[in-house]
Amino acid sequence: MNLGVAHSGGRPHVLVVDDERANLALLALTLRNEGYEVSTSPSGGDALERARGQSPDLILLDVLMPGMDGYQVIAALKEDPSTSRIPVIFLSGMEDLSAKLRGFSLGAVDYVTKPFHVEELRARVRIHLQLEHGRKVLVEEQARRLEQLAVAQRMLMVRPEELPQARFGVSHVMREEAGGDFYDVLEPGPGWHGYLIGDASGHDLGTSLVAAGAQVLMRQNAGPLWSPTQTFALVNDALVSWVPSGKFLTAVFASLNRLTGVLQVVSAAHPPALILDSSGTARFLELPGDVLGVFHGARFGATEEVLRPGDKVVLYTDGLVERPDGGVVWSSGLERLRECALDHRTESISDLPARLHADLAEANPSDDVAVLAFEY
Amino acid sequence: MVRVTVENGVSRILPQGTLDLNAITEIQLALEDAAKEREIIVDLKGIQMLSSSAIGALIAGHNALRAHGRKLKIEGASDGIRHLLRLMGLDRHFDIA
Repeated sequence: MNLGVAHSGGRPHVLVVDDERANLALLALTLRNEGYEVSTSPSGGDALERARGQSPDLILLDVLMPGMDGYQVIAALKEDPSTSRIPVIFLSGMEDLSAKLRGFSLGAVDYVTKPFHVEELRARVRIHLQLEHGRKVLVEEQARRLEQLAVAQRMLMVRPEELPQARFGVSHVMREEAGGDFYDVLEPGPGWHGYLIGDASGHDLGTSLVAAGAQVLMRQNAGPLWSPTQTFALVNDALVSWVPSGKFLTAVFASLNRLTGVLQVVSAAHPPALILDSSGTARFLELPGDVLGVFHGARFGATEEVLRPGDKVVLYTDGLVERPDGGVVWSSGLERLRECALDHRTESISDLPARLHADLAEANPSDDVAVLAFEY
Repeated sequence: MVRVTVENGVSRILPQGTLDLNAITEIQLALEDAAKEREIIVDLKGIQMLSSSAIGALIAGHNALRAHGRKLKIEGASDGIRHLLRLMGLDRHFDIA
């Protein structure tokens, strides 16, 4: 039988450790007859070397050996990251409970009492190889899913050339694999565009997971049926049950009706959107509101504006306005952003985000930054 | 660094200097630990700015308190931090003195 544990398509490899030659020979024969690849080792020290060099899928380990005994060997195996995951089954003539418990407490997965029955030994070895195989498949599957999610997150970030009628530009730098910044541009109907920027707190895998989840939820809940505020409320309710304690999201969503120029903006505790109007002024839309993903029945800051042709709106994440020491007291960075945006106000919409990014974010190169600008 | 004192049945949590990840974890644990039995004041007078992770710790602490029918109290916040907490809507949830 072939369980295909470690080496793709190869036979499972079992290392047998016992100081008694007769035992070693019997164990090796029994397991080879099962179709396994078997290595043998007569002492603890030698077994450690083999385990490190050969990475077996399972170790059968005698407890009582001269020199290094089985307890010392398993302790050393668990200490070394290259061998710590290898399952160990103890073999011993000692029948007492405390010896067994000591083995389990050191990390053994099972215990076989000598003299062993061949059938029992076969069954125990097989089940632990199967469990190890299942564990490896599970870990690979989870890693693959996370990878898919990260890929999906990047794919979801629509490029300006894919939706030219939305007239937007973007500058997005993910400094870390586990970044929390995201943006999206939606077209729920002709002449109608939604612009989203968001930031999940923290810098770990959970952060990018939360960001990706929020982005998907926004797509599902932004549409003709809902106002931007209602969209945030729906997304928030879904996120509350799902976002881990100590994490939250901030976001701004702007919905522009290109037939009328009406702009609706809703903010969930995000740094304020900047309106750069065609007459040469720049002002922030400060909209106090709750964060996303924490409070049931959260309230969001919302406003409505009428834009004139040529007006631009800049959405961004806090990396653009933070101080280099990593705090998020935005107010200090907002004035610089306003001045910088005025300096670049004649820039094309596709270049504006990169200009702002280059002028402002170099002070803080460690953080993710996303800048999304659109024009009416 | 995070200092925790208990006076008249009120825990006072005093973070100081730069809040790195360890300090943030410490704050969150101190909050969640104290939330069971008493009032909590987080005194921010030693803090110039809050990272998003630090804000996450305050929110998590607040939620732990809320489960026991209490509110997180904030004292000593600078104008900048106060402004930030207001923009983030947290002034509605926390008790900011």
